[in-house]
Amino acid sequence: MLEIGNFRARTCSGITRRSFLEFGSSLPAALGLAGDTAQAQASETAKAKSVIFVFLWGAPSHLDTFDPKPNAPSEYRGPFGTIPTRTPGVHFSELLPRTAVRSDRFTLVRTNVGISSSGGHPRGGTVALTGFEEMPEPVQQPTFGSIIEKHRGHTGSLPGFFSLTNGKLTAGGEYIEGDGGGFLSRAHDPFMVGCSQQGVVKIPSMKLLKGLSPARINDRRTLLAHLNADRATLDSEAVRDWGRTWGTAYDLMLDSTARSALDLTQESTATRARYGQSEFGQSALLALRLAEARVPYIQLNYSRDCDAFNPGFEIGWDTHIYNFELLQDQLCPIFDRAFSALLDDLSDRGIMDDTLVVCMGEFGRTPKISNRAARDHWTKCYFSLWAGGGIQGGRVIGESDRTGQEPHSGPAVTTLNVGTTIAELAGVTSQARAEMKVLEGGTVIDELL
Amino acid sequence: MSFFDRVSTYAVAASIVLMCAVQQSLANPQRLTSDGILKASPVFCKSDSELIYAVLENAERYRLMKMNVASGEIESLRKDATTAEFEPTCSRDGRYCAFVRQRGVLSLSMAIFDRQSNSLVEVLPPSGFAGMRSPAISPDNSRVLYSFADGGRQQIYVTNLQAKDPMKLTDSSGIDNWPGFSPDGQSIVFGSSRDGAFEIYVMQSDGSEVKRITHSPFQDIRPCFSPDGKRIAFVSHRDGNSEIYVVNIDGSSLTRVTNHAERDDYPAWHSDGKRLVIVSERDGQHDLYLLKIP
Repeated sequence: MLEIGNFRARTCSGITRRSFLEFGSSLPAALGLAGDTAQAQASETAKAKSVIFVFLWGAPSHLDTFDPKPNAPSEYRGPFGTIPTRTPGVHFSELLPRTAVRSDRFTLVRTNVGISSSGGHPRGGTVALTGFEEMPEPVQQPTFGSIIEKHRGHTGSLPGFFSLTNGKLTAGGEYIEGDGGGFLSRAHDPFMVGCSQQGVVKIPSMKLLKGLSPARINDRRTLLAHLNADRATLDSEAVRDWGRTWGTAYDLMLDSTARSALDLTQESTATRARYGQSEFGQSALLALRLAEARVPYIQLNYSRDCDAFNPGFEIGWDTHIYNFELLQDQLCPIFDRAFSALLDDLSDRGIMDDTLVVCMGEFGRTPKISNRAARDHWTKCYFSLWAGGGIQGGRVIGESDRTGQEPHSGPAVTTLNVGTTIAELAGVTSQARAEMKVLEGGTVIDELL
Repeated sequence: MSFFDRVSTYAVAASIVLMCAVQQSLANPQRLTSDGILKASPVFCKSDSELIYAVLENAERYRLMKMNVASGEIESLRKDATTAEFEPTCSRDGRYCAFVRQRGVLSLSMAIFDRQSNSLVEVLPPSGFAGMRSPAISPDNSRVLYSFADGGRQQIYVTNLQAKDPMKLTDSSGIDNWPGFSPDGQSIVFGSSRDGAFEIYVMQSDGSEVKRITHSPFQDIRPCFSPDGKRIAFVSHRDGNSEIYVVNIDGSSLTRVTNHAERDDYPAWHSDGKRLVIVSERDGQHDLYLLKIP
């Protein structure tokens, strides 16, 4: 089901929220969209026709997931056991059994490093998504997805850069700045699409249409008249953004194949079940469908908000309290199920080799357990996962030290180099990057390729 | 054959044997809910006529629900709650319900709710990021256990029903959590990482005479005493994923009671001592099931 916009309507059972445009399983299914010539040429040179960037917003602990330290002192190692993986000699936390049996499909980097020794999530998120730490704001550097979208363009009616989220990413209510087009212009911001745990796909920006009924939304003129009445309450930039988003959404609605890519009801019940009934799980399935449709860049966010517990905000990976409990009860089980299903289906549908999957947070968490029996921010050493796009699986690159505090051997992988490598594999060559003046100073992570 | 493949082969063989052993006990578990939403911490109260549990109603918030077991009718326990509430526990008579309550950013209290007078008292967290966990009410309605982290260690505390005079019961080097009283109120079962991975322990209600019950390199968590006080149900990852086990309080007669590739979690006893309510994930959906045990 694709739901765009919503309004309140009275039914026999009372007032309920309804979408004004709903598309169900009766829509024709036909993926494999034809792109324009320029996009097709750019895509031809790319090893990765699509990139799925799995963003674990809030920053998961590396010690409790992909870089356990069972022999470290008790104040470091945490309470979880370790399990063998399909990669000889490599162990993960016991919380990730499904991902462990698929370790031959991806390369694990254990020596990611942040470029800031301090700073919270808004800045950390900007560093993770742009490769640069900038002061003063506003942030000018474009995020990786915007760079690739500018170079590769749209795929038919589908935008070239999707961010799967229920709204703009926030940290404690503060918006992350580095998640858009930056100096490339806001025309290259991501197109945001959210997903309910039941798999209903929603476009958050369309909430501005609250109050419009289907009878009033049947053509552009009616819509624009409605908007003009509301312009006084919106700043001009917001109206422009909204107009662009609406234009994209309108095009999506008119294109049956584009709509099909967003319609999870076209997947079997068994397939949807394998991803789990969760926002992240169903979003991961949506990412798969967008990759099948050859969308150049899909940012799959675990949550819109980063805090573990913040009233009115989604539960993310920022576990300053309850680190071990939340990882065990909710975060890791949901991730483990959805991520492993995504890897399976990318392979089964024959697009793993030309789809690049990168999974990481904005940093790691303190190896030493905090006073609150949890873990705080740690930028000096953390992990990333790399699959597909021509990258050989079943490897570990880099080794952290005895307690996971700093890289011990192997490359120190900065987010600038993460972005540069993603761009290179997605067909944005060094020459193209230079012409766009993006990712300057970044180098490809040779060990990965 | 790689190490992993060998481990997998042995695990599969062991699973087949275990599956046969527990098949009888797993016959036809009764599914109590069907919405599939992530659920946690079910507990019987009011002479088993009611189930209280938490649901992750959306990506933002846990909410407490109550189910009329006879009719299957489900409604919110606290309709006016505006922030997350989870990890519920109930007194035997159902009058009191204790749970974790979100107060602010990474700040959670332990709340004790008198359903008769509709009044609520709280053990408040200190300023900054802090929170309580896993409350449990004593059989005589006089005390409430909970877990709280301070100074790098998470310990078991006890307070009275007015949320006054909290007292620390444990002083271990690890993380102590999931405390629960024995039916006579004289013992406390809990999980702890004091020896490495989480294991199950029992101690006297004053915190003395701690005894370790389980031994596994993987986590053993969420223990709870059977109604006769002779057994403990808990969750273990020892066989590859989250499954339910039962063991005698002296550590003998360890029995696996679930066996599924998906998650089985959060056991709580029915007062007949023959059934457990659990949260099982099946086909990606989390629902409550009533399970007969050997």
